[in-house]
Amino acid sequence: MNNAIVTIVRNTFMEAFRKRIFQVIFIFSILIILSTQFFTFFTFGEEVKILKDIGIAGITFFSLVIALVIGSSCIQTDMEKKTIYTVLSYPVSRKEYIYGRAAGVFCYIVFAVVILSMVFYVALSIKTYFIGQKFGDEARFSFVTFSNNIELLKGIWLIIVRCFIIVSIALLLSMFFQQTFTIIVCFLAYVLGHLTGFIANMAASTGKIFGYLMTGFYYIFPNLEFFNVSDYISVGKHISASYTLLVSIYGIIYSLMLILITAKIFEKKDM
Amino acid sequence: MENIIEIKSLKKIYRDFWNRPKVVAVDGLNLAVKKGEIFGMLGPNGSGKTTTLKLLLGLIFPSAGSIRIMGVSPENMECKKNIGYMPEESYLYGFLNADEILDFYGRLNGMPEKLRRKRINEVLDIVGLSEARKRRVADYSKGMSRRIGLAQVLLKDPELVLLDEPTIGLDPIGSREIKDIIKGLKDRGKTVLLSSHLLAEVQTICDRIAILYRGKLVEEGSVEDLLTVSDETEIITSGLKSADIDKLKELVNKSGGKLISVGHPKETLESLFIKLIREKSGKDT
Repeated sequence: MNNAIVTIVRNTFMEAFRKRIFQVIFIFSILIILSTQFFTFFTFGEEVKILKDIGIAGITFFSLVIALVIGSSCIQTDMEKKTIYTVLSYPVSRKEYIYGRAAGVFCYIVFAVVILSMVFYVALSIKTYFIGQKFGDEARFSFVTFSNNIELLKGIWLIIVRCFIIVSIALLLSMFFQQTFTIIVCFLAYVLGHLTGFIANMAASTGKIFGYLMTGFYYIFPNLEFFNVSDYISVGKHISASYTLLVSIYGIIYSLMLILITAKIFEKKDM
Repeated sequence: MENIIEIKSLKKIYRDFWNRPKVVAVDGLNLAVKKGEIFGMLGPNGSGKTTTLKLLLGLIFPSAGSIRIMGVSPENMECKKNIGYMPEESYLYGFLNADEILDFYGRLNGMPEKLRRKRINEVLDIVGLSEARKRRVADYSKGMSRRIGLAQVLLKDPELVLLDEPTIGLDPIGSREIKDIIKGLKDRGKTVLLSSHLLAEVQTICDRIAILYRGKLVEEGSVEDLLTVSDETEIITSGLKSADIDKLKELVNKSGGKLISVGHPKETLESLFIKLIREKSGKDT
């Protein structure tokens, strides 16, 4: 792989890793996941559901915050603080810089989500142990098959892909706007991305011009609802491998397209 | 001598959101910098010095005209390996320490690990930051930030060095050390192009200068030629008695000249300051 890109990926990862704010949010998310140990409910199913809901919510929250904050700041800050001047005075093309930055953020998101997922699994295992103690081996076995299954991994993977999309949107917007505005627009995109089904219905039921607008909106905006499988996970429903694969391909292609557009814009940009 | 930089009819117009011309930062600039010289770009704030440097680095694109560095475009990647740039402020990643910063830039320049380690030790010694190498750059003083900025330039051992206000914000000793490093670069055959509005600094180290004003070239030439007052003569002697001075006056009058002033030459404030501080630090140690 290209040496300059690898160097920028490494640096971006290190930058995120050393950011105090992420360390705090990271610890906070771990605490949220571990706090599930202290929740006790009367019914066995309810206990597992709450545990999964909180775990998935913790991972989703942390990964979304990272995606929004790093995605909106990593290039913008380099331009604002003019660090980009020295970086581009080296044999690094503008494309390589963008690819390196994007890949660095992706790597950090994968790293953070993997660590949080491991904490989540530890929390589940501890719970499993206590459930075994409380309800006996049969309940423990049923809990293990109900919670530590592949569906959870698929769900976590889809959270990561969704974050890739958010990062790519943030990188693109950071070409034009300041960080705060980029974060606000990205968050709106995140919310609207989960409402694309509603937008499609509106397009079908409204007048011509507004309908066309809504249809255009529906096709341009990423359908983030595809990635929202937390309900499936929490009740232990099956998520098919083909669905996971198709949605992953959709998310990755969408991200790559945005990154290519960002690189193209950055190539022509005056620093 | 071979030209290392050739700028022809260079123009840079900054435009607003609607693509209307907002500022003409560089206006029809023609410049040539020769290999092995120290070339100074002078001018007040807003005269186009930094814009010219940015154009030379390919950070911004010219509206018209052309730039050739070592015979190729500034965007050429091989050419960039041989250009070192120190911006006006040391815009470096604050979360890294000096060692990591230099390692990062060494990697970007494609330097193999062994050479990188060796060069990092060397340049940290040159800029006097060996002892602070494990400190975060964000915690550095302004002077130290300038030094680490210069260290990343020296790390590449480039043929062409571009320096934007290299001594700004430094105390006289730091400033002298940077100037010595710049002179050292010239002695090793490197070309230096620096921009500054500190005239005394440029006068002491530059071979040739260009004066810019509102993006246009006002004057260009060797410092020697531009500053020499050709119809006056300076005689510096030692051990002259007052009677001899009278004789000298007479001789000047006889030959039709006019003696303008007789006095004792003065040291510059910078050299006096450095001499005193060095004496003091010598006594302390």
